[in-house]
Amino acid sequence: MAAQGKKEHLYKILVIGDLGTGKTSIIKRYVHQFFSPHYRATIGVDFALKVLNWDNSTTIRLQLWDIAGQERFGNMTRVYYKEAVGAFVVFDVTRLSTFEAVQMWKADLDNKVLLPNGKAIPAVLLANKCDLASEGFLGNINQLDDYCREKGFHAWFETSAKENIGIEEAARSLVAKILENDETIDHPQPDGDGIRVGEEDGRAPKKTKCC
Amino acid sequence: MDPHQVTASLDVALNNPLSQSEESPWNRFFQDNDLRQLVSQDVVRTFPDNQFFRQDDVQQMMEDILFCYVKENPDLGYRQGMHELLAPILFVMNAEMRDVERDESLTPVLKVVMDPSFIEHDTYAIFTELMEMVEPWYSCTGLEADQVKARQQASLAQRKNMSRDPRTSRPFEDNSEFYGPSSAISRKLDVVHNILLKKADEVLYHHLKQLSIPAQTYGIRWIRLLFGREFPLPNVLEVWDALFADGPSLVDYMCVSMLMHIREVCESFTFNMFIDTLHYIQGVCSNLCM
Repeated sequence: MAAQGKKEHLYKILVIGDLGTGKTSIIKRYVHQFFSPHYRATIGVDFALKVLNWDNSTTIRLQLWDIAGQERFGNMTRVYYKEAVGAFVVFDVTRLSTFEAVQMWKADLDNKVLLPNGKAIPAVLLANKCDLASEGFLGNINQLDDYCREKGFHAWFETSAKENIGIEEAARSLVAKILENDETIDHPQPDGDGIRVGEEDGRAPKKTKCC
Repeated sequence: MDPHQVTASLDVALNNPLSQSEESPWNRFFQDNDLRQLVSQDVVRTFPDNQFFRQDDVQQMMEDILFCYVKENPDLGYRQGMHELLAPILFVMNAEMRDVERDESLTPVLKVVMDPSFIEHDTYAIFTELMEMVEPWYSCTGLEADQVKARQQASLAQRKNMSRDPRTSRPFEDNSEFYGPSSAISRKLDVVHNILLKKADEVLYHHLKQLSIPAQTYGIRWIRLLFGREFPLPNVLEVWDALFADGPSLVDYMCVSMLMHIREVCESFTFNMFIDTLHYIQGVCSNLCM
């Protein structure tokens, strides 16, 4: 604990989605403020740490787990998901198949990790490479609000690691939700039982900034 | 095969791009395109700092080799990491064939054997041999998702039964609970971490356990790429020489010795430095000369 009663949190956050959707690029942009088109394919899992000065009294350390796009097909994700409190699910707006995989990733997540109170961990959907977005896909992208409600995403954002769009906002949204969960889980009932709220997946998704 | 050119089958119900039939030549055409796209995504990001792999013809060759390998081994499919096993082979084949081409003192037989116009074929053959050895470490992920789920449920049920019975408590339950019976790489990592490392360096074993660092967080990459990212390319080739000479079990001992190599640094890490520890372990030997 730091001086003056400063609060520190350490959160494990997963970054998942099909291969080549830009998970590593998003993380590098978020953590190192940097973009390169030349990242190698992630094999297994990679890690990054982001320290956030959330407010004057709170420091947050985010442990970002960058999980290889093909790992969903294995049974290794259970090890990687353990004790995570939030997730980004990433798809590539230029490839429909990566969007179709989103619900598979979400299901995999919900099957293998839960918050201490038994609820799903908050997940934010990232529509990445929005700088390359094609007309056709953007036509559907406004339906993502409904999609997120249906699939239990906390929110969705259009992002571009290349142009630095939407990533900070998405992270703030996820961290805010995690902090909120933290308070409801930690304080009212240590047991965690019985806090099951009717509205399973929280608030209506926030609107994204436009691309 | 390009269905645009196929005229043999005149059954238009089958031979048209909208046909849903498995036998439609178009079906295969689209599947092959998807596969090429998948492979290509990794090929273009192979060794980004090495100019050799930035050449279009080299990338095309890699894509063709991987595509053919997957077509020949459909059960395994394309798994990420294969591209980085292929890359060093192609790199060496290219260098050696160019050398032979220039060297006038060599016998005509050797010139034929090392004919650069067959680099793709020869590389494919060697890559296929290498895959024979490492295939089990990739194939654990080749299961269909529902198959994996069924197995997990089975093992979950089994665990529940077992945990009620104190007589069957297992020594390695921390890791073993996570994977089903099919996962060869997990079993391998289990051996590395819970048996070999524990035996060789019990203090380090407990330290990693305390930091909640399971072997899967670093070992998957080490093993699938045969340490291809842990050493600079020239050293990778030396490591591979040893692995090929000695056989696959050397991989396990390599892992243990790499961990022990960094034990002092590892031990000084605390929980808050979890990420640093993992980075350090993952990148363990990048500056180490063999």
